[in-house]
Amino acid sequence: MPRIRPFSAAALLALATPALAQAPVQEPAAGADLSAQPGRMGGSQSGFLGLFDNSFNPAIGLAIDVVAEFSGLDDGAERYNQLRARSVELNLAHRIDPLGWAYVYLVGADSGHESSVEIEEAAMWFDQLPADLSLRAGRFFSDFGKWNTTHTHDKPFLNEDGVRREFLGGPQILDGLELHQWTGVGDVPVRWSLGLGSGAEGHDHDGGGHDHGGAEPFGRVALDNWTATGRVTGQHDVGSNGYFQWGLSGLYAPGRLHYEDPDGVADSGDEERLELRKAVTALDLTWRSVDASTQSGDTVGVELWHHLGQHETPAGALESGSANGLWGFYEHQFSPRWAAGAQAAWWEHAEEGAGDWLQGFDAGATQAVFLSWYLSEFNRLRVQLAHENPGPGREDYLVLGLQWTVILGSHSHSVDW
Amino acid sequence: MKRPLLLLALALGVGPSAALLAQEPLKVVTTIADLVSLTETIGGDAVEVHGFVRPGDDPHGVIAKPSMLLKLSRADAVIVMGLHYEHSFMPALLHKVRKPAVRPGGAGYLELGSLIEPLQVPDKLDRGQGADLHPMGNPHFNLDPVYGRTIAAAIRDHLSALDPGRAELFQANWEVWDDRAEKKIAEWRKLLEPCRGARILTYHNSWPYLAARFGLEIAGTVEPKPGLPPSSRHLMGLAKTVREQEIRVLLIEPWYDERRVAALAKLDGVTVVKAATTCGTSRKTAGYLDHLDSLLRQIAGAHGG
Repeated sequence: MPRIRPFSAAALLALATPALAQAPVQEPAAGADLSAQPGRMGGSQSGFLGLFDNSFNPAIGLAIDVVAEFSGLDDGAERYNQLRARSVELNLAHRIDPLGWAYVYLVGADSGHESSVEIEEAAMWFDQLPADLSLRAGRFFSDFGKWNTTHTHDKPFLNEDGVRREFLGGPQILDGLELHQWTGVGDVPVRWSLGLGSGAEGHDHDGGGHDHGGAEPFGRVALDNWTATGRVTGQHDVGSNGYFQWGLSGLYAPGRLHYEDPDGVADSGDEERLELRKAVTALDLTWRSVDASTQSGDTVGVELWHHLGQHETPAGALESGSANGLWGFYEHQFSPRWAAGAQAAWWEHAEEGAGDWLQGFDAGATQAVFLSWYLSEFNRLRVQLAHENPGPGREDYLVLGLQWTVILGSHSHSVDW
Repeated sequence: MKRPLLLLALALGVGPSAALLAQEPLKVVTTIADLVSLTETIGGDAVEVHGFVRPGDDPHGVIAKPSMLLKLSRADAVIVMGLHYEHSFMPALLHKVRKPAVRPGGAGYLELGSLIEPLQVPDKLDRGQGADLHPMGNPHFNLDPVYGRTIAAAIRDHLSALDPGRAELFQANWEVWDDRAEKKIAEWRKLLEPCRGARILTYHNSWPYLAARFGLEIAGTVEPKPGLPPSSRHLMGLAKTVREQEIRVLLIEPWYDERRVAALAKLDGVTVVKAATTCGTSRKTAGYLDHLDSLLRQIAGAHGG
């Protein structure tokens, strides 16, 4: 089912407004000879605006991410041993007016056991505020750590890191507002952001993570249920075309909503609404250096996470527990065509007893090696071999993953921070 | 009383910038080394120039770093090639920087592509025609020295408009350079006259302006389509072209792998000229005219000139 939230709907409406505003208003009088109006029937001669003029259409792009993962795991997740279009992502972006611009990511996703069509992001950026401030409003990947805002198919590796999946349920999406500012401390660029959202949820197209909250299906939420995020980061130039970046991120939800429905039957009376406190902090460090003459280079990223959260004990009491996680990756780019690297993650279980498939173990770890072949800038094949260790008492296993990602239409490059 | 008013005016962005009042150098941010060289030559001590693309680097490999945003936000002028030459980093930076003067349309912003007649403007935009397409035409017009003079004159005018007090200096520096450029172009025309009509191969489609200016004909590119590496079959076809059309020169940019053209380099009479698309890769090619001089002499030399 498509999920469209109030903020998302507002973003879509705002995106559509300029187009509506530009609709032709010169309707012909009854009985008028349309053929006498150049451009009306046959084009746009004489400068007459055509009915289907597309001058102000947004930039349109499509990213298709097809994945096949093979595992010998007996009771493996349903995503294995099948070919699936993990995500088909339609994105639109355009200026609304001189004050800001908007973008939408409409995604069809197949996690292996569930297909969905959803608005992954729909947000407006008001980027003309004074003092290099900008405000984002709508539904968006929150500014948490270095990699949360990068869509999964754009990451150097095939799957989201296990720490993010364990602590946030996957990349964190916020329905709300995020204020940004960048500035310079001497010659060091520094950026900070503060976010506030009525809904916040993890998002994982591989279906392995678990969702740690969100307003649904409760309807209105109190301010206590909102989630606040923050990040500060700085980047130091290293060499002629490289950098070292550090970042500190935090997420705090004083009463994040959880919905439990033991029998899985809606309105059967056993549903329970929990309000759980949650705080996640992360330190991220990234080093990247690219030789622009050969387009070869190296990237190293490490993130150390800490999770502090409440969960419900079997006796029904709320209890707090903390957990740590560490993940990182290294990628070597041999040329514009080839790149290879490794990724590893280790995490302590964040909410023992609160999950389902995660229940009953204390920690997990993954290691993976990957090889990427860029047939062109818009066409990439990737193979990855991963070792997944779900923790004590669980079988560890290997996963061979194949990924084919293509981009059609509009694309853009962004500032790397 | 005057001082507070002056400070207030500056704070409100009214009147000349602080750099100009203090006779500090104009801070100019630009991209490729040719533009750095020309801006430094014309601006002299009155400018402080920073280029985002290191000499010999492929602009596609340049990381759009936040430190560039800082440089842009502190700049008085921005000079870019345009025609999507810098598309992998400049649009993202210009989108983020908030200083109106250095954004497109601002008084400090100069986009040179609008001053020339672009070659190879595609009839239709289709990725089937290649991965590295330029919708507004081929952007490598800096390799035509006549357009080099156009660029230099535009830089002179731009700097003069931003700093009228030093316009005479810019004019004087430009006159010296332009006089030398005019003489060099005449010299190169004479040098390459025997090569007129000669066919050359290039790795990437970077050289149409240079070829058109000196009557060279590009018989083929090693990349079958812009941005795509050659297949063996394509290289075999090029080898046949080399033999049939007696091609003497293969131009290859420094960031491409020479091993890919090893088979072509072994063919009788073929000289592989490793040619940067801008100046600055060596002391001998430090300036804009020096680079073209070195390059054109190599081409002429390969043709027996």
